[in-house]
Amino acid sequence: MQFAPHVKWRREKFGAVVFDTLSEKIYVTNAIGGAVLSLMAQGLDAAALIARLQQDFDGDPAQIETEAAAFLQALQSAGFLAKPGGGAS
Amino acid sequence: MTQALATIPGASVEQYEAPLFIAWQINAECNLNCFHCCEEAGMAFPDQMSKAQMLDLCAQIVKAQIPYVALSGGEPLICPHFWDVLEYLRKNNVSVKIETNGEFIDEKVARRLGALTLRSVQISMDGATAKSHEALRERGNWQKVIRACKLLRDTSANIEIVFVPTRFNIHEVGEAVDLAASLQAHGFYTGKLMRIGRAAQNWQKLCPSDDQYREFFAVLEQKKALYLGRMKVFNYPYDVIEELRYRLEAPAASLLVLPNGKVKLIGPLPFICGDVTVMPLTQVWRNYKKAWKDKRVTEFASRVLKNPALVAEANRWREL
Repeated sequence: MQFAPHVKWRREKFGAVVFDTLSEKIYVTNAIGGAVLSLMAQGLDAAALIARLQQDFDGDPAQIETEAAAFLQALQSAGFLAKPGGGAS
Repeated sequence: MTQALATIPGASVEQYEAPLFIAWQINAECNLNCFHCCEEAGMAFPDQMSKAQMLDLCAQIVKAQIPYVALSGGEPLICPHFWDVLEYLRKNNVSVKIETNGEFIDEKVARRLGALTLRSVQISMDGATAKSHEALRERGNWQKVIRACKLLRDTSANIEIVFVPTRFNIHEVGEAVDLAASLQAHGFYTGKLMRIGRAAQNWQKLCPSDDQYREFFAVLEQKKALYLGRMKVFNYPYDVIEELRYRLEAPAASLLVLPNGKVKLIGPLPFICGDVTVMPLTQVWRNYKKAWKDKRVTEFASRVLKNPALVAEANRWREL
């Protein structure tokens, strides 16, 4: 998974901020969302990313998987992720 | 209101470690002498930033992970360090928008810009005809603007057209939107004329009437619907006073850097909150966040809200 061209993100104390510089829209997320973005930036695919979250965070692994998948889906729907075959800027 | 915002993660500028956006006027020189220029561009500042200072600021932008920079002027393409700055930022994955009059974009420049995969090249086109465009843009050449758009289009660059409405050109906005679409622009941006700089000096001659604005916004609504999904037609919803009122409650996570490195709080106010040539960007950012609560700022701003003509003082800087 890669960010779409012109989508940038940065960690903040409250979690993270995602900036779609093309639409000039800003989104914020909490610390767990920030962790997901960080793992994405490391180049992990969805399965590896979820496995890592299950390892790093306390809680029901099934629930972590459901919530992480929903978060990734939300990123996809918002246009933050590169289409397969497309690059990140 | 400000306190309430501060409780929502990411809603207040106070919560950000660095700006999210830098509007950087890299030079003051311009080949044109536009009657509505809010920067009063023309001659270079005697103390403009050196190449070393510019590249140092670029390095700080990258280090602070500031995601998005707009390079403007003056006319940025005549700044001798333009390419050094632009290529540094792109090499380090910063999204960049260029704001230009388009007159210096030939085949070679278009190819070079295209290769940098910019967020966008924003070109000023103040008319659907040469007559209107050139009436506002003294020494301007509308044909060069059209040519620049075509050359950029051929490189697949994201083109955005900016149209500033005045009494001279407001009647052409519909045709200008159509023209932008025919040039395969990504977006068409407009909004009310700002009463700053030369626009303030020429306000009576330039400012459209209420009736003209009503017609203007009605046409834009039609064009938005017409080009939905093909080209973004955007009219900035605030005039300069409305924006100031909003920003007093919720300052933007952005800095406005002038050609000499001084940093303005916001376009319509004259206050300078730092200088990137003598202090680190991190310090400027701290100053910026504090400055919005400075009594000199809040008092002056409240006077401006009561008397919008005071915005004309925006370019007479006052150091905080």
